[in-house]
Amino acid sequence: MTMPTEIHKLRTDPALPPVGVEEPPNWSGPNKAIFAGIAGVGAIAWFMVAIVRGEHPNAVWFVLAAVCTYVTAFRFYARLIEYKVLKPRDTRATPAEEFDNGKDFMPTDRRVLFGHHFAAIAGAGPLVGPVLAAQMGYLPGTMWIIVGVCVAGGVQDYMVLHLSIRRRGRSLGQMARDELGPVGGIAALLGVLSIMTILIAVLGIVVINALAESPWGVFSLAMTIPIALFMGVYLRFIRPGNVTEVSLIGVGLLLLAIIAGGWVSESSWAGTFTLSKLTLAWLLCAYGFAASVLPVWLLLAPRDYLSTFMKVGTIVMLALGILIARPEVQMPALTRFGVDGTGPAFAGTLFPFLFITIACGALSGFHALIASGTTPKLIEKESQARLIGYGGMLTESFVAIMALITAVILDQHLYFGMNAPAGLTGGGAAVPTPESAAAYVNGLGLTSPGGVPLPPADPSLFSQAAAGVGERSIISRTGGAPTLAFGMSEVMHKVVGGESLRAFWYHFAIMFEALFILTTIDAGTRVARFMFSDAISNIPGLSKFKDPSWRVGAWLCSFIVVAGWGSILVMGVTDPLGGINTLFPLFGIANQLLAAIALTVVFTVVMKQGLYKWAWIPGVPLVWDLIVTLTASWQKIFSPVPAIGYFANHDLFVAARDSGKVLAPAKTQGDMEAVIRNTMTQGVLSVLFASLVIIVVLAAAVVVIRSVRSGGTPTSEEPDVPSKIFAPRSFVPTAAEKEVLQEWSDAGLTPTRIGAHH
Amino acid sequence: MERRGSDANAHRSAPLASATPIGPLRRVLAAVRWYVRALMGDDAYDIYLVRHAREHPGQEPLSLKEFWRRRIDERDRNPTMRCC
Repeated sequence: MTMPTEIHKLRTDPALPPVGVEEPPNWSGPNKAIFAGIAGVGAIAWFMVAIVRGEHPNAVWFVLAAVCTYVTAFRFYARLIEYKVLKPRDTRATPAEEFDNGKDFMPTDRRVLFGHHFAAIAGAGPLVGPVLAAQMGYLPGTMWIIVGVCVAGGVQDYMVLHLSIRRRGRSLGQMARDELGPVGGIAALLGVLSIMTILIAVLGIVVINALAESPWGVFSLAMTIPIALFMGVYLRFIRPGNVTEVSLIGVGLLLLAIIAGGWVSESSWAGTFTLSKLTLAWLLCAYGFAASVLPVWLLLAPRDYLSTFMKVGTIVMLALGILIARPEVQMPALTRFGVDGTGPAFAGTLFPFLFITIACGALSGFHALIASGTTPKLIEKESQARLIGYGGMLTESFVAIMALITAVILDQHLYFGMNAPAGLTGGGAAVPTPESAAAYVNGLGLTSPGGVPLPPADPSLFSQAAAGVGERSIISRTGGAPTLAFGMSEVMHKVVGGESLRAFWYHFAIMFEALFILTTIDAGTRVARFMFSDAISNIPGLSKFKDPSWRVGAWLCSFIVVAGWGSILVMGVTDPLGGINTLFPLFGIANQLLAAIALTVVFTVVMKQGLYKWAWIPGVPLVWDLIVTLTASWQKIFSPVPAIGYFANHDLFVAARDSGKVLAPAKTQGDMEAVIRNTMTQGVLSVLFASLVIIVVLAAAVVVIRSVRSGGTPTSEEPDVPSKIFAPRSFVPTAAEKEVLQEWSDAGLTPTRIGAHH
Repeated sequence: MERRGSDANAHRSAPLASATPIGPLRRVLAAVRWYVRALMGDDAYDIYLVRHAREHPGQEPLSLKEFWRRRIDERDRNPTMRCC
């Protein structure tokens, strides 16, 4: 489909109404005026955020800059990709139509599928990364989230979705094997499995950091398990099929659990629910294993319903909250940590580490696993991929912008006191106090957005902030989740409830994040178990593992998968250096390297098709992503600075141990051994991830060069099957699409039949 | 292609497209209800019934309870990924 100049109604069967509409872009007068207006407002908002800055820029400018840029990119850049590269054909049946079985393949209303796709791609990632990256100031994070999604993240999601639609909904790993050959395929599969392992482990650390020593949080989250079990039983035996009803009951019980958490934290039970990080890590492993082997109806499915409900509801609520409360930004546009690389939340300079830390929201390789394999089996028409793929990613980016806002509106002393590890805020003591934390943050030389040095913080700032949200301490609550929750309570209590509900909102936000993370952990463990048993079933003699209902195999594979992420989790929560600082970069690198694999597959296909003129569209994000991730990997592996290089730190601690010394923040010989072990593991993982991606890229380079020499080679695209259904491309049907819908109606037919048979 | 007229089809199209004149508030509420039910999957059994009637006319469809039992158990074999 090149740019059409007039309206064409496309037919595949003379007996049927049209199955698609091609129409030129709407360039009517009012339409031009609307887009000019949007572009103008966006330009003003960017001007306010990036150039004027001011003493305290208002958060509403961020929202406006983001939304206006998204709308413009969706209208023009995504449309360019559609016309010049992907060229969707609505005369072609999608896998959903062709293989419709009423189960995993089924044409699904575009608006409903948009919701499903969004719920599947957005989790805790876009909430955590921007909060940590806020230590470098508000501007670099804002720019990367908004520009990154338009030219990188949205492009990846959209193009992978389109490729998978054209390949019967095959997964990224299968497409890599088909397009890049067996070596690239195996490297891609190993990459996906190891990256999932690190992802689950790091999300686990985030949730544990939010819950450790917090009886309120632990009680509320623990209650989600009986709530889910109740929902599961209700849905199976009492009122099957009433999903919305049971989810509403579940949300009600959840709110009750959050309120009850406050009572528990003040009662004699508080001790029972005050758990150490290590205990929580073991409990999380047990939970992941149980969720992987228990029947889905009992635990996984009801939790997923609850999580979807909370996700959509809370994000809409937060957006409204920000617009109503219109908070002011406290963080400067740029802090010195981006330049000198000594930030407390994570070490390293702005380039490359900002782009690693903010993965989800700007460019997330994990989305390629949803955009291939799941969503293509449900999409009605090829032309809807722009709305679902690109539009879905824009929505996630918006979530990331809101997370960034909640971090940069906080008092800077609080932000840095929460996000610096205890080794720094404690000032040498084992447990940091408000006094030691105040001394630490006052020593940072913080300035206001206008450049005026901030007056020193009083220790009571920390104790009052903790009391305000019903926690004993908020110092060194690293991992991003507590900061986000604190920022969210700051916004929401101004809109609903005032001071009296501040603690409720904090724990509501913690619960909301923890719920997402547990959903990712349980679903991820189960998916990884299936991938692992599928992979080893190809080894001769182990074919029995192919059958997922074989209990022994299920238990064994679940155990191996949980042992994989569990060991990194335990390592992270006991790490004397603070697990988030050392492991979050690895998580970001892993996620971005997966994006590199996905973009490599897309780039290879575009080159094979001979679209050299437009290869820059996936090429630019691919090259940028490779530069960022490989630079970051290089620094993590070879940097001589111990705070950055895993092996440099390893050598430092080995030398100290051998001369009988104990280096801070380690306090005992055992801590020294832990640091030595952990840095080695993290270094080896960095080498592994980078090597796998280099193999994939080299395999692709060989394929591309061969293809260019022979003037283009066939791709693994499946032959056309004529479509016999019709659905509009975007949320609102155009005039021509309404005409076609009317034609179907006049013919007495439904345009999207419900699961036809072939 | 099945002919229009079966009541079970009504839920497939958004109520905003409905031809009957109803108040704007009612229409918005109906649209929200349609969206939430479709998103959460409450309408799965209705869709199944229509499909079953077309593909296996004359055969007894699964009961509501049995349908949902099989639908959720299907996810035991086909786990869906949730992203970060």
